[in-house]
Parts: sequence; structure tokens; C-alpha cells
Amino acid sequence: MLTLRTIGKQVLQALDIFFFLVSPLMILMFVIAVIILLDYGGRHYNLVKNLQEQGVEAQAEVVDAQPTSLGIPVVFNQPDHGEQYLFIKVDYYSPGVIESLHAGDQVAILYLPEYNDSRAVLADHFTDVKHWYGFAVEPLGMMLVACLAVIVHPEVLYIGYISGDLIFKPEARPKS
Amino acid sequence: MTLEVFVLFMLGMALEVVWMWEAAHVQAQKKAEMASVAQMLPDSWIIQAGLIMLAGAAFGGVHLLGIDQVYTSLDDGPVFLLFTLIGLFILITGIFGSHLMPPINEHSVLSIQLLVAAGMLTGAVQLPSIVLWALGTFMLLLSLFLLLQQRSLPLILKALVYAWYLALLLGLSVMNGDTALFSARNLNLTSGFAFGVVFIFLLLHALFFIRFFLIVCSLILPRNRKFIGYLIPRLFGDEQAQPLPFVIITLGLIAAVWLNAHFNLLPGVLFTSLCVLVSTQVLSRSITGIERKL
Repeated sequence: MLTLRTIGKQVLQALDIFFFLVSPLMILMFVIAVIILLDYGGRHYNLVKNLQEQGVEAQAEVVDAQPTSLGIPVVFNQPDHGEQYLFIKVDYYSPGVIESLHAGDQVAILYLPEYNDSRAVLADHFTDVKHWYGFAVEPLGMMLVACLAVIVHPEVLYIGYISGDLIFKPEARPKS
Repeated sequence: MTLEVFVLFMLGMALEVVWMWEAAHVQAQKKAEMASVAQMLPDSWIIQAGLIMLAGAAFGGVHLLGIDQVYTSLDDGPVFLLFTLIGLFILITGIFGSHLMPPINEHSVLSIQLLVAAGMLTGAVQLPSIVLWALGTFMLLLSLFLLLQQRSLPLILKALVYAWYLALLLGLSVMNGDTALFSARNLNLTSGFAFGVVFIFLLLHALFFIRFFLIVCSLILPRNRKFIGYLIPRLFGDEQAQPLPFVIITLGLIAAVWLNAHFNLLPGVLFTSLCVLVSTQVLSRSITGIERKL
């Protein structure tokens, strides 16, 4: 029983040292995640803004209801350019919307002819695109992991504002 | 922006760094125990005069060479290099060090919230979500309540209020659309200077917000709360500005926000950010020892 407790203590100590060592890296990871979040958010915001301001609506035919890595392929006749293939990203919509699409269906799409972009969105479900926050999931996950690790050992965060002795040497702190 | 505007933009940034340095060290100088960390700038007015003369020479230079209307952007090599160096400077002095963060108090936080509220009422600042509206209203009411009560706030509450102050500045930084403003073709000399002053102030606070957010999160564990007692007094003081200067400065700046919206002198968010900056720095200097009771 005593041995088990000793092993448990040592494992906890090892974990504590591990978190102490990785905390600077976790802070860096947090900063990177924030940058990714702002980048993804900015790109999505720009896409919505561009679609609202410069988006062109067209009737397209669903080529295949099975989504590829780029999304559901649709085809339509673009004036001056002939037949053009675009992809509808599935992440924006609820499963019900995606399941209702079948090969050969006619759907209204919004796309950006000026941007030479292969993306299109469903015009009838544009509010889903507008209120999509899926871009935040991945960076928020990274931020959460980093945050949890830093919470265990936040000492590095105080460097520069508190003297090293006060942070790392408990005996140097004045007794309150 | 054109090269002549760029010169004033750089002057604005450099002067703001001097002002922030001063504001950060005035407080530190008062506190003898912190004196080892702080170093006062040698006669900052000489530095400011030097910077103005240098900018004047650069301004004259670009006019003499006839390149004043040449457009510059962040993609240009020298500008990119310059901004990398500025970023490193901010990171070392303001984020890893404590040389640039102006200390604030409850009066500053209230003043800033009133200015942002004035910006919202004039249409200069827009909050994108109803949740932020509710949070903003709650924090404004909390600040008003704190103004009326005479006791010092608990450290954790101070940390939360300080995090809210940084979040407001981060919001202003995002709304300013710095990159778009940098490549704006119609930026005049006044806007360029104001943009430089505001840019460095908001960038510093936005970066510090990331660090402070993690600090606030770490307070969940009681064992981490011992550190906040050393940190918060350096950022959020108990000493308040005198009531009369506080009221005059805040009302004066609110009136300025309203006049700017009325006469459209500078971009709305930029001007509101400028007023927030002035309020923070003026109120941190007008602290005269009115201290909250513990």
C-alpha cells in the first residue's frame, strides 16, 4: 500500500516537472492558436463580406451528392466561360441540408467570379454560412490544451514583472 | 500610405513609446521597492524634441527628393524589416518586460468604458454581438458601482477588471483594421500621425492581453494566486485621480468623440482609440494619492 502511494507520488511529481518544462512551449502554442483563430476568423469574415458585396447568384446542377475533400461538386454555365465546376463546402450546413442534395438536383448558388475561387455556397442557406463558427473549433481546442497546461505551472508568465526569486524561490517571498 | 504620411506615422509611434515609457516609470519611481526594475528615461523631452526634429528632417527629405507621394506598404522590404524590429522591441520591452505598460486605476477603466460607449452612441464603434453588449453594460455598471464605494477591490476582481480593460483595447485594435488603414490611399497627415500613436498602444495591449488572459485562467488553482499579489499593484493601482480632473478629462474627451463624429475629422474608431489612449495616460499621470481603503 505504502509502495503504491510512493509510486503515485513520484508519478505526480514527474507530471508536475513535465508541465513545468513544457509551459513555455504551451504559451507559444497558445499564441500561435490565437494567430490561427484570428486568421481563420478574418478569412471567413472576408468570404462572407465578399459574397454579400460581390457574390453572383446562379443555378447549378449537383454533379455528385457524395462530398469530395473540397466539398460537393456542382456545375453551371458561366457567361463567357462556359461550363464551370465549383465545390460547396459541407461544413457550413446541417447534415439535413447536405442529405437533401442528390446528383442532378438544381440548386441556387452564390460564387465569386472575380476571385477565381473554386468555392460556392448555397444561396438559400446563406445565413448558415454567415453564422458558421466552425473555423474556431481547431484553434480553440489548441488554446484549451495550452491553457490547461499553463494553469498547472504559470510561473513563466510572470517573468519580467516579478523578480525571479519571488517566482521560483518560495522562501524569498515575504510571509503575509 | 504615402511616404510623407509614413514619416508622421513613425513619429507618432516613437512619441507614443516615449509617453508610455514615462507613464510606466512615473508609477514605478514612486514605489521604491520596484525601483530596481524601473529606469527613467534621461530627460524625455530632449528625446521627444530629437524625434520631432528627425521626423522634420525626414519629412523635408522626402519632399526635396520628390518621393513624398510614393506609396509604401507592408510588403516593401525596408518597411517589413522595420516592422519586424518594432515587433521585437515591443515584445522585449512591453511583453517580456514591464517598461511600457501604463498603470491604470478604477477611474481610467470607467473613463475608457464611457468613451467606448460614446463611440458606440455616435456610431463610430460597433459591438458585433448582443452578448458583448450585455457584458459591456454589466461592466460599465460595475465600474460605476466601484467608483461610488470607497474600498479597495480584491486582487482577483482587479485582475478581472484589468482583463476587461485589455479586452476593450483588443476590440478597438481589431475594429481599427490596422492593415487596411496602413494600405489606405487617402490617409492624410493628421490621420497618419494619430494612427501611429494608436497603433503601437493598441498592439502592445492586444499582445499583453494574450499573456494576461492565461494569467487570469491560472487563478483557478488557489496555489497560483500568490503571484497575482505581486503583479497587479504594478498594473492596476489603488491610487485614483482627483475627481475634478477625472470628470473634466472624461467629459472633454466624450465631447471630442461627439464632435469628431459630427464633423468627421478623423475615422471614428481611430479617434475613439486616440481618446482612450489620452484618457489612460493623462489619468495615470494625474494620480495624486487618493487611495482606496483596504
